[in-house]
Amino acid sequence: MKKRQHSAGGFSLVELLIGTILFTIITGIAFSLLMSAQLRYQGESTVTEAFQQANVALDQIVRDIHSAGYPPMSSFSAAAASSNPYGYALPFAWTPSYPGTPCIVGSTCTVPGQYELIVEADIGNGLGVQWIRYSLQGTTLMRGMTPKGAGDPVGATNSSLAPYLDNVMNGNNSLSIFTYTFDSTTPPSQRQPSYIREVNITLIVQSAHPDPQTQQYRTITLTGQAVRFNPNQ
Amino acid sequence: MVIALFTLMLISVVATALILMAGTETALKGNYKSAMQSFYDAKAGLEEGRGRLWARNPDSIASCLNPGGGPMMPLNQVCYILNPSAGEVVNPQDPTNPYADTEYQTEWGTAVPTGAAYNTVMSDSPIASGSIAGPLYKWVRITPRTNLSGNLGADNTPLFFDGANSNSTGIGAQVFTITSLAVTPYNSRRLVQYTVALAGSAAALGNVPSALTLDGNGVSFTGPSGGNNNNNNNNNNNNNNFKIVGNDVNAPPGTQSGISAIGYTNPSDGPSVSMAATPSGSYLSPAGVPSVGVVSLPPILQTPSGLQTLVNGITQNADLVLSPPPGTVVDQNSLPSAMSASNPMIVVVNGDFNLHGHGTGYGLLVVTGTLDYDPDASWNGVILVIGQGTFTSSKNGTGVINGAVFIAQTLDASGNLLANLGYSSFTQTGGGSGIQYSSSWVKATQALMTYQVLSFREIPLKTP
Repeated sequence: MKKRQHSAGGFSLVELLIGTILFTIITGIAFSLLMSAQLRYQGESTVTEAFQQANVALDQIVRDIHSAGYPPMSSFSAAAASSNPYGYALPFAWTPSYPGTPCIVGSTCTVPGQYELIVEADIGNGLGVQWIRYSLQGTTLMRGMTPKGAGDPVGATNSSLAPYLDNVMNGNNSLSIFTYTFDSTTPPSQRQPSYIREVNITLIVQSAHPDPQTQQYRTITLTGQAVRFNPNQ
Repeated sequence: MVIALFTLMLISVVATALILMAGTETALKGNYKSAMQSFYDAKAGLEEGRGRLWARNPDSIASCLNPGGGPMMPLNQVCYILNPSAGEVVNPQDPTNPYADTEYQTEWGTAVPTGAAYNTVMSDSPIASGSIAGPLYKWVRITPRTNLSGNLGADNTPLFFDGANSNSTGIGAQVFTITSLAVTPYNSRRLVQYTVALAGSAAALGNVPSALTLDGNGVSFTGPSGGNNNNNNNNNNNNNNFKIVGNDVNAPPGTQSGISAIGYTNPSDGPSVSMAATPSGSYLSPAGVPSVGVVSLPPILQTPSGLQTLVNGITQNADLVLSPPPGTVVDQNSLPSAMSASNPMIVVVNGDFNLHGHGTGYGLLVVTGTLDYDPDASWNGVILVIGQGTFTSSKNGTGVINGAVFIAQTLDASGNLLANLGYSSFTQTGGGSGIQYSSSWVKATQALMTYQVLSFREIPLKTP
């Protein structure tokens, strides 16, 4: 029987070529996977950041609405309330004709509206009852706060508005940020701001940067609901 | 071999990236969950405080609120319900304690009181049993409420609630502030606050202005004529004993306090009521208080809708609600057998009711139809005849109503709510011992009500 001859010099050229080609292919696949994962990670990070910001904003809106109307006039003696007319709160301020003639939400009210809400509450910052206003301007949800006083609450809070949440796309999608549920006994023609029982909040927020893979901006939608606890005095 | 190692390394990198992403998501959701949990835990604390304010609660904190046992919580008193986790110390007084009550200073301008003014009780939370983790609130604080503590003016007298508004003149039930701090294991903190008072109905009952109150317009009163009318078949011939007495039977010995015997709300009804309330010796009140006269009522008692709200509120707290079919009448046999002097109850009758027999009822009786009273029976507490507003009695007896009676017509014959109060009527032509005002029974009746939330707020924490 003829004995097979083995080379003592190592791999043949063909073996090296095959090995190199295989290595290149596998490395290429691996790097492309890695690159894909990296892009995916960047995209998700952007969305996560938008989600986190929207979540914080939603939580704050809910907290403010929970405190709306605190303290009510009924929680003070008549003498104290009459001498401090701005020391107690209605749940929600409105415009026009505040505080004389309540408007009708969805009809004659400019505020509260789809993209505007003004809460009255003492939030414990030592400044007494505040007008806390949320207003969507373009794609930025603004928040402003000023002590309750005489005059129109919109005018009074204009200068205090500051960007609170960016890339809010509700306006572009014609989808309300704020929708309202009223006390069950309130007919539509009498839906004054004081009769708002629940505020449903929808935030459509777009990521700050496009997705690196698709080059498309991604959006998330957060919804929340806040019940008015305080009386509507 | 090399290829396998390299592939493994790449897979590890990808897996690590995925784990990081998942970790971030988990942390976000964990934070949100913890924040939500602390909010609802804090609210649970508020509810424990509110529930244990109720005098009928087996774990009532009445002695914590007011160790002296007086009629109201003293101004500088504070009561804490503590709820420490195992091995932890919760001391709201101690500024170095992780659960120190820093909000007290904001509201009252002073540090948490010490000594006898500071009382604590332990929570009812099942966390104490160690079986199921209860809500993680650390403490619940109960204080009286004043205009000052509510950040409105400098008036620091305790506030009371009359069913519609607060006042500092003592009308109605005392207003309390309940504050609750919750801290979760992930250190999410929430501080929330209720303002509470006894339900409007109880607040309104708290200051009944007369032993018999006839609320409305065109009211009528008919008592036993001259005190010696004997036109009935009852064997008890004791109508000379009929009296309506506004003097408080529970006044300390040697002192005199009380209210009017008969009160009406529309001055134009004065002549007819006064003329019927004879002889004058049967209608008594303390010196300086008219025995028969005009009385003022809290707003909730001045309108049919307010009174309806009151009845609805009482019905929600009732031990028994009887709704006899139209045309039928229920009587004293339907009253709960467990009702006693030590266990007064709330009974609401949506219709006509015959309070007959020889027994004694205890607590609050609400009748929306006609109340027919046989004075062989007695009642200790308050009777509200709100609806048809008709109280009739034609027999003799030895029974007495200890407490107060309030009558108002708010419904028409069809049961529809009137626009304005109608003509309530009280007719007791037989006899009986009448009505004896008792502040103790009025208070006992008031205590049957639960506390209602007047306002709520969440307080931002300055030092987490």
